[in-house]
Amino acid sequence: MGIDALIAGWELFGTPLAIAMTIFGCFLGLIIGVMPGLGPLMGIILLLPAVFHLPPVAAMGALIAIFVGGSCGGAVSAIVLRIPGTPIAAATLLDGYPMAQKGRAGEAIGLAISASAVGGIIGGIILIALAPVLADFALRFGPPEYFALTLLGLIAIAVVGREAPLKGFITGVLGLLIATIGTDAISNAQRFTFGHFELSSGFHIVAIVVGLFAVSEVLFQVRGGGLLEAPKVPRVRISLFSLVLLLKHPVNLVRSSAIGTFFGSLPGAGGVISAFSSYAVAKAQARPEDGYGEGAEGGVVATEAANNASAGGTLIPTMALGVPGDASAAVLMSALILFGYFPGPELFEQNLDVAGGMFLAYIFANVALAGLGFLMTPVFLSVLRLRKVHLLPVVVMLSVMGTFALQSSVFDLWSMLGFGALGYFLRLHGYPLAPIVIGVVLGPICESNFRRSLLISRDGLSIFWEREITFTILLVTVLVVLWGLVGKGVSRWLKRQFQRAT
Amino acid sequence: MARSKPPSDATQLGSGLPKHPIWRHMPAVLLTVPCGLVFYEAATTLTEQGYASGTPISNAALYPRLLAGVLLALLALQVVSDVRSGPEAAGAEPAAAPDRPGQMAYAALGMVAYVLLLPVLGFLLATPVFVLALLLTLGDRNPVTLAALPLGVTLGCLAVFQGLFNVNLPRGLLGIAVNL
Repeated sequence: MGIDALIAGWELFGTPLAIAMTIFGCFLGLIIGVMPGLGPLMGIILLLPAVFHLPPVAAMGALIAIFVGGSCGGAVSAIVLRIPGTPIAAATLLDGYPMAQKGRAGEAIGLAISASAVGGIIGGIILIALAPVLADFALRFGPPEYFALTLLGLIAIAVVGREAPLKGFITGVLGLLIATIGTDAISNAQRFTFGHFELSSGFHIVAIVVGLFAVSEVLFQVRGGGLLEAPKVPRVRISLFSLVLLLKHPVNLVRSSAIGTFFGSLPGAGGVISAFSSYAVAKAQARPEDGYGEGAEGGVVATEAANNASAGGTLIPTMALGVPGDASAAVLMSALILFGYFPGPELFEQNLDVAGGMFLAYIFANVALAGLGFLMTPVFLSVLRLRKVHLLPVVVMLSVMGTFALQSSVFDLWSMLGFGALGYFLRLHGYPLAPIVIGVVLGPICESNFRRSLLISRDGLSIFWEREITFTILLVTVLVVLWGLVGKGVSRWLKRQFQRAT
Repeated sequence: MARSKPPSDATQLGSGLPKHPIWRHMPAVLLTVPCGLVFYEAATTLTEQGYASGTPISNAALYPRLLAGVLLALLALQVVSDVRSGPEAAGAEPAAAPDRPGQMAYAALGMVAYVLLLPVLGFLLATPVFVLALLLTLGDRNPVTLAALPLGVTLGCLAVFQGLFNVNLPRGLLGIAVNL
């Protein structure tokens, strides 16, 4: 089925516009990933309003490519400045920065880019092989299973890898509640609009994500100061010799890509966990003379292959089940929904060409990543020299105009600012924002399946434990909740072990 | 030896949060408001429309009420957890030193003013003024960038959003626009 999807998808993806947008998205992703403080999510958010004017696969290609490029870009600043451009690049500096200190910055960046590209392609192959199979299995799902699945996705993102899981639950439920504003799709009732017609369709998802992430990030950056500082960035030349170095680590490359894809496919786990896990495994398998932590090539290969492969993994539940693995995937999923395509079995049953086009865009983005990375690293390094004071007004204007462009609505701008204030306030108090976005995206699916389940049930809520698949998913959900409540101690122990090992 | 002055009264450097203990419970307090609105709407508007009872399909208030109840319970748990855990809020995002809440407040007010003035002045007048004001607020004093960036950002947005995406940018009360 994966091959069928690729063949069907080529008609939509194999156009100059779609290919050009994918390359452009990858370029933009790399630039945004390089800049500390921004990341793939911010890139997707800033480009999201603009791509609605494009054909669906060209638009999704651009967004997926930002996801891919942004996942790799953070490695450049981690290696050169010891500042990871994105959280997922944090593990890369363990060996990337020592390599740079030894005068091997060019080799380290080349290794990071090539490992990311190969890891991403391996993740893409697993995505193409598994997503259609999972979607096929999901054909057995009815409303109770989908309700349980959305609940599991939301709770996993609130809990996994969080310092304060309770706060994640709170923002997740808040997101579900925000999604109820507007006309109820089932009964046509006007809910929580307070007589304002602008609210009859609810808040626009783009206004929500731009406000929560972009506006609050700008405010945090301003508050953090250092706006006029220009970092001193050394000149770095990348040679194709990095590819030869990469070929010295075939087992590490494939193993790390598999680990990355696995963790990426678990909602909430994502790139950071996959990068650190693959690093720990690579280090455990290495010989002492490899010098992990002192500039080992294998360390860079492991972390970068894993974090780009995790992007492919994240797309597996997003496309096959409609359960996004992280906030970036949630925004990608909402974009797909706004184009009129619903992720899940329906996507593979009725719009195989769109699913195939997205597969091709993902694979091609990783190929483009290698090309752009090798050719344009000096450009990305020059971006690092930009002062924040000049960057922030551009981010603000892209946010404002991008949001306005959606519906030419000033109300959307007020919504954006409101969600910006909410995002800033919640971040200041340590509340994660990703569960809000997941809640808003999954909200309508969660509600309609919950109410439909109750309708087909003859005995109220019992339908949720009478059906085997639903019961199993809910059991896993309960285990995830328990992990959230007692897992803090376990993760502290794991961290201590990791620190001891490194 | 003179002792260094403690952080300013309103904000504790490093934590990003004001010192008063009630501030830590502000999210919980504020998030009870939407919960209250859910129950209020369910009891008034939705009941009047006939959507607050009946089957799961016709009862549009069922699910939001359930969520509001869950949210209230979680907020109560969070308050209890905060009280038990002591003064440091778990996971609170630190404001990187140097902390500049004043500059941030001016930038936020600038954004509000821009959105307020955009329909009045129009995109072409409001945007360069806003970008210039933002640059000055953020501390830029370089005359070249102060002249080039407002103009460049305005023209760039005009070219992309109006020229490329055919978006009708606000013309303001004076109707100022450029046809591309």
